[in-house]
Amino acid sequence: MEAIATTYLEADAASITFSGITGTYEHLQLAGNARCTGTGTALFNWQIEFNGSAGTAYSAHSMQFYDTSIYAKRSTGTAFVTLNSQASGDGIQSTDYGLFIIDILDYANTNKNTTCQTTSGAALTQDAGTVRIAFGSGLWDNTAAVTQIKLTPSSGSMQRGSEFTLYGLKSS
Amino acid sequence: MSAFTVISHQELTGNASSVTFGSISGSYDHLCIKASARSDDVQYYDHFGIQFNSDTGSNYSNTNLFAFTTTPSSSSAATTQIQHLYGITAGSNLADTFGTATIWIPQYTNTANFKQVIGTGAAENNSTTDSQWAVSMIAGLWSDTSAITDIDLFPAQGLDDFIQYSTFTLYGVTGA
Repeated sequence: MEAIATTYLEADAASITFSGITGTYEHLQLAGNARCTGTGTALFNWQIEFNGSAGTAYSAHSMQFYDTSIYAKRSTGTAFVTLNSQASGDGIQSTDYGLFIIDILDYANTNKNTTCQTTSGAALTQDAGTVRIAFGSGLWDNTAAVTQIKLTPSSGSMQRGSEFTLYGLKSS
Repeated sequence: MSAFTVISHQELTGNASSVTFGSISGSYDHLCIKASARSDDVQYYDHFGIQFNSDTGSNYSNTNLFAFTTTPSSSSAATTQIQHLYGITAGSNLADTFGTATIWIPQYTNTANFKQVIGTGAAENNSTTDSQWAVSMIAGLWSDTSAITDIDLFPAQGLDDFIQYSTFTLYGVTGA
């Protein structure tokens, strides 16, 4: 596993983008520890877009644990893969950042649509009722090799102090 | 810091009923498999079967957490095979869409303990209809203290095959 790039936000940013991703690797893994400036004590979503393609070709499914509840969420026909409810809003204690790991397998294989696994969680110092942990997946109905990954919060901007690292895993 | 070493990588050039990683050395601390796979079963998703050292007996147990509706479920089974990791898409799923799976086998050479497996899998689809998609997690046990030297992976839902372009990467993980 090799680090391809790390982005640490010195200031709030509307989104982050990893671009120029080569086909050198077999799999990609993106790890993030982040929060957003969305208003309130809610946990907002992350939106994942590949190759600058908005459109309606994305789907996502996940199972989530919210406080003492468990449920699954699903979406299709969207402009991004939704990674549900792991971006801390501005009403949540300022030291509490959500986290996620996104595995994008065989991302350069042009015989395959892009699929990914998402593991995420937010354990908070306060507001125990809003904590979540989730496992899910995403689909981009496109066989192009992934060369760019963009992450955007569903509300506000990414907050200063958020950090993201993209890794590559080889096959030989 | 951990280090991933590629032990073996297989991309299928045609259909295959199983994939085997054989003669795995004991040089690593843990094993990790990453798979991007689809089967030809006439379903929306399939699940991985996992066997070690060619042991086809009922020496496996598993506990699963999964969702293919808005209400996740769990199940468990003993004296069985390790399976029910829903990480394979199947023939009825959206074309060109492959499932994803990550399977960890920690301390695979420790002969003092039975072998544990933990895995995550997803069968994505462009559908929100129940049972046309699946996400899952599995904890598995092989009730044997032998060091693992061989791993067999197969689509376990029926007598079906992995299809062309399915890929399987076995990593050895070390860390000190």
